[in-house]
Amino acid sequence: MGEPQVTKHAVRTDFKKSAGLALANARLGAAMNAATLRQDTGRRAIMPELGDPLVVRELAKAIKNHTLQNLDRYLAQLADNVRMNGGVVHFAQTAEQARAIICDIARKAGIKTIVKAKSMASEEIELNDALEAAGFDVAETDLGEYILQLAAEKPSHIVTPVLHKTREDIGQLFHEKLGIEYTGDPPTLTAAARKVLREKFRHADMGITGANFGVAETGTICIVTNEGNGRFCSSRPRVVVSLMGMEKVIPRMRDLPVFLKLLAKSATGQRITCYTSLMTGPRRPGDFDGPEEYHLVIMDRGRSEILGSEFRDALRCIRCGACLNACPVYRKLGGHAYQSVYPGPIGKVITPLLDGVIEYEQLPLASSLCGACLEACPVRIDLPTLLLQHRDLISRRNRMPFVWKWGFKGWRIAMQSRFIYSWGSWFGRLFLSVTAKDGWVSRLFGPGAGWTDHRDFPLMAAKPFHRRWATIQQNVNEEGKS
Amino acid sequence: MRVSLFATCLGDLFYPDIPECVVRILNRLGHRIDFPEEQTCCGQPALNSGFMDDFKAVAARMIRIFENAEVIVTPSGSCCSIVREYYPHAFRDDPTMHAKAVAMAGKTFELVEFLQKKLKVDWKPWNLSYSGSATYHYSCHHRGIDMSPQDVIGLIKEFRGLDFRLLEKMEQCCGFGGTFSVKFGDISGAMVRDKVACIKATGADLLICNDGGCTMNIIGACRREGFHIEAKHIAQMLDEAMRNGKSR
Amino acid sequence: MPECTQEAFLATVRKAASFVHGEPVKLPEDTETARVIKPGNDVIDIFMQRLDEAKIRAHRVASETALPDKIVEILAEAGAKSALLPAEDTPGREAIIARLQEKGIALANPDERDAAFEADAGITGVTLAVAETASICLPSGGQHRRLASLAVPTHIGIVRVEQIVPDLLDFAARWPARAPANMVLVSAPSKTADIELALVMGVHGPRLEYVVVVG
Repeated sequence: MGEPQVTKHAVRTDFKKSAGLALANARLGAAMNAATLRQDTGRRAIMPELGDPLVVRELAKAIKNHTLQNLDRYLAQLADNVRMNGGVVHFAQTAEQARAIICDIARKAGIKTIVKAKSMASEEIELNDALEAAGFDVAETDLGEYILQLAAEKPSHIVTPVLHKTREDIGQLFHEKLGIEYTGDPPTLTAAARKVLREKFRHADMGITGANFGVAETGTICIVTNEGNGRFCSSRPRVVVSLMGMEKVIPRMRDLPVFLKLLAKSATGQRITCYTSLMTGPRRPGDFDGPEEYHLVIMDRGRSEILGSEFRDALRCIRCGACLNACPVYRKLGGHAYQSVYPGPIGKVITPLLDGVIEYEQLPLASSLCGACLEACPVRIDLPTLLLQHRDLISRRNRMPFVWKWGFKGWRIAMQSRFIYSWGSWFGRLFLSVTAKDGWVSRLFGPGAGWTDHRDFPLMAAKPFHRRWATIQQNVNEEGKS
Repeated sequence: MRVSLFATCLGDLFYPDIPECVVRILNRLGHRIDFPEEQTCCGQPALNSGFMDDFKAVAARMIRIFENAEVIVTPSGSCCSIVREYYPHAFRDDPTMHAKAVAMAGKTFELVEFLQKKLKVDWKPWNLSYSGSATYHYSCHHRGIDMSPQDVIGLIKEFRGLDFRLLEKMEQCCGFGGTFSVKFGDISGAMVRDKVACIKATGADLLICNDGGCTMNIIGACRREGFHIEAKHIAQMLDEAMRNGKSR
Repeated sequence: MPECTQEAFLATVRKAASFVHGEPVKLPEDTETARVIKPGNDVIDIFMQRLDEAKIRAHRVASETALPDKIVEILAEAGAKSALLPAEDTPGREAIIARLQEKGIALANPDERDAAFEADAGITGVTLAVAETASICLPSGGQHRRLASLAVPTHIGIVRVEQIVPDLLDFAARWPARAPANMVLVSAPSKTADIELALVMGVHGPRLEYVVVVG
């Protein structure tokens, strides 16, 4: 429908352009408003179940901070324990390596059909494209991801990926791609997907999952789902591969509940997801079911750079999407405007770091720093401060626009001199009052147009407070005496 | 107590009535007010725009100006949160300045915070009243100083006769964000229109808004839509009500 | 280079992790501050209440002898004409099988690979249950069949009261030294809200989830 950034292999455009497209889409705006509000409200309503949610969030933050400080140690322990349980562990420093490893596993095992559970890490590396190019049949099995696969589109939210589509859109898509009679009824559409995917589950020989958490102490990979597709992907095929971003490791099994208690509540306002799957290696000798081969692929792909930088805190992220749901900018734009795997506040911070500080330069700037994201974050990532750090770096790279760089030098001079500040304001008022009506200006030029395109700008007061102080001081003393 | 007033650049230049009200309120409560006249701006615009050096220069000057203050009160949650959160952060590599920044942060309060949490004012003797309907927009930066919407609404509800209408999406940012409003005008515009729509839906005659940036943004947008609503800072409401209440 | 060696990978990580970012953080010894449900007399009631909230159809019987009737009742409600009962240690299994045979409910063969795809219902025991999250824990291995609680449209989990623990923290504390290849916490019937946030039940997993508490 003419929105280039939505489709899978679209060329990236300027952020303001993609944001503009999103803002012009009233239907998208209404859908995003309803969905994000509902999930955010759900989170707020359920978090008090934890007693003092802040205490639990701080505990989760501490566990993650400790883990990140000792990440190599815990990854080694995880690898040891996965192997001890019969699994194979692979290390991928780059997206290329991760894709190659997984294709290689599939090739060596003579795989034909792959079923995939939801994995943001796999979106990062565009795994499906690589697998399909290598000749494998890949089916996304999470309903939202399946819809995206049929539509050849990208997700617009990290937890509920097809918020940008209406039931009618999906009905039309299924009619075209699956040949079923058109319907906009979610249960009917879901049943149609279920039928197709059930057959895939029955016959697929490889399953690919992500990893919400990797427990170092026990060699267990944990995935959380609501649909049951994760369970199928990890139980039925003879080869199972879990792709894990390296920051997902946690030290002990007893740390896992802390995160499970926070994750679903923060994401959708559920107490816990329907299914929490805990995979510890392949089937044991004598087991009736379960994979013969279990592979864990631990991926870096830019995370070690983040780890060794002042942006480390962003690696605490458990991909709950709470910040997206709380963000007023995301609520207006939806995910596609960001043109990155991770949209929303966390996306603004990590996308430049993972995918290019120049290419994604606009993202850290496009925030009012309202702090709703930090307030929502179950692991208390100070996203506003990280965004400010990005902005500091952008200006140090000398990539802030000329007008702002020199504008602020002038501003600095004015703010350091009461004289200039005071007379500057006086002149400003004089200048603006030429076009002002009732004390408001409806047109500013240059950067100011960004303001007046949407609202009026007030004139400064005829007599600012600092010019009134002498009188006020006098009056106040008199009133005090009476 | 000797209270030093931090008027804020927006308060000083655009809404001078508000710091005036603050002075009168605190005076009535028995405190001496001084106004270090060299003050200009907390530096937030430079910080938000990524110009740390410019921010630090202006911040250092403000720290110096308020060095001898006993306690500092400001009618803006956003300026207060800059002082509390980012002054120390900006000087983390300079032990001397860091100490001074921490000292200033430790004695700077936003007005409602000061009245409700520090002074714990008992409002009953003041007979606060307001006749009319009002709604309240929660300014984002109150998050940074641990002031919840309920903290402010608690004070609003002290006004007898006030018909309080809860604003839908009360906590959602109005889209000001300082330079964000001009740099990303389209997104900011969409956000403020959303806010105005919610305000309209309350049917209230008054918008209580405690931040100069939010006020100029929201009322500017209301004007653009031809929608008329009065906006007041809680300081203005308290000033008027205290005067009226006292004369009963 | 197709793959990275563990040594090279971890060396990069170690170097990055050694970047000084804040004070060293010790691993919190105590995770009890995350506890929601304390041990106590009301744990079973909390479990039953939360099963209800999770839209799991909860039943309770005083003893195993009541199970056969209860299972027949449930299967009738669910419209199930066939059932898969893996040969695990499900409470009352023998008696249940006998009653189902009497009632003409077809019994699937647990050793058939696709049995769970064909059966109308799967009936299993659990290793434990968690009151906090209304979860039942199902392991793999031995006579357990992973798909008996997944590929069927109706799943019935039979829980002994002694198996109920208060909190997820307790579940973690009981993690076995030799864990099975798979453990799943089932906490609700399968669902999705991917289409316009409209709730649809029974996507890939069972649409109907029953828990029968014995004792």
